[in-house]
Amino acid sequence: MSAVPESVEFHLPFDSSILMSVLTVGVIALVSWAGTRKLSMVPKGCQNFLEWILGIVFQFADDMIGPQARRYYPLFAMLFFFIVVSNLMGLIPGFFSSTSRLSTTVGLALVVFFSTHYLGIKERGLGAYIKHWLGPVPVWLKPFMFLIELIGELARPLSLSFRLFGNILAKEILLGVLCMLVVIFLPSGNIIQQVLTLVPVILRPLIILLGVLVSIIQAFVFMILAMVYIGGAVQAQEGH
Amino acid sequence: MIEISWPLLLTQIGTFLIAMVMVWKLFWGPLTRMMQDRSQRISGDIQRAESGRREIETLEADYHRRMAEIEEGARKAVNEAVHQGNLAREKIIQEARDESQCILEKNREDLAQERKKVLRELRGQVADLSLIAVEKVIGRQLDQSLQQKLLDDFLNEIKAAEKAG
Repeated sequence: MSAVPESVEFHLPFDSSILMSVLTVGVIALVSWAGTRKLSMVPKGCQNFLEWILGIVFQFADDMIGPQARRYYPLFAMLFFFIVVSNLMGLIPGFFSSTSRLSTTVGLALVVFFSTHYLGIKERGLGAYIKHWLGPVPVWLKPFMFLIELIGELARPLSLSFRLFGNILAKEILLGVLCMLVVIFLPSGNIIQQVLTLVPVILRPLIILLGVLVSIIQAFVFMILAMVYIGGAVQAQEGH
Repeated sequence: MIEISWPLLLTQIGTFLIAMVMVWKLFWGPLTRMMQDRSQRISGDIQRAESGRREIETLEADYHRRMAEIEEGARKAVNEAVHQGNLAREKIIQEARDESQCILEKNREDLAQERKKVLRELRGQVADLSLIAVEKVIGRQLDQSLQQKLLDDFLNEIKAAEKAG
């Protein structure tokens, strides 16, 4: 059974969220193909849209990480596009967001987690990277500092994945429940219930609008936190 | 619903990473390079426009400076020409005055000499006529010494009359 009451069961031999992820990638590829089909120095149409979105992502990355952010553009851009398209797909009746599955959000959070530490060690060296976990504290406090940092680092993917998962699942459950209320109330012979049908009918478009906002905001939040984590790992900062 | 399927998780990670590499290689990479090229081009154009503007300002300042120099030179030349003209005019007027003065003095001298000459001739004629008149009155020829004496007396009287007049 689907995790979301509204979504359609596809009866696939594999989890439907994989199909949703592939569809998400397909939409991203389609938009990207349309935007780069006729590359022009003076952008028009879809190229303009694509450049606008990528420009925002790159600007955020440059502001948070600095000139070396250029190397991580693909990760940040794909994180944003994947999450925002996946979130928005859940607003289409019959579909659901692959980001409403914990496996997907944990997978994305783990990509950020491993990227953060891999890039941190690559940029600064293993010794310097471990050292920044110990902090500028007396020697006897360093083990505690290391433990606190370790807990903090492990909490990051948890918070990343559960925040996205919770927001998107809540949005989809709310939309599904509103849809089911219509299905339950309308055919019933009770006049009060039939009048109450108006509530989900009016609320649902508003929740969809809210869902669009939440989808975009959550994608931004995930991307910006990824930038903060990776930026903190690759930049050598005193006292961090 | 809230459970993690590790095969699903790994598949999602794989899907994400493969999609990231492919989309970047095929679409976003070239687009990003073009955006950077455009940015550099616009930056270069702005720099060129700025340097061109500075060059134009320098040329304009140079033009104004040179125009001021030329105007100053022209004003000096005009003033010098006017001064030279005034000097030449003064010189010409002075020369004309000197020349006219010379001519006037020369004419005066010539006139005085002519007058003296006329007077001298007139005196001679008057003396001759007087002697002829005297000879007619007395009816005889006067000798040479008497003629000379009468003539001298007559001339002395004329001189005295001229002095008195």
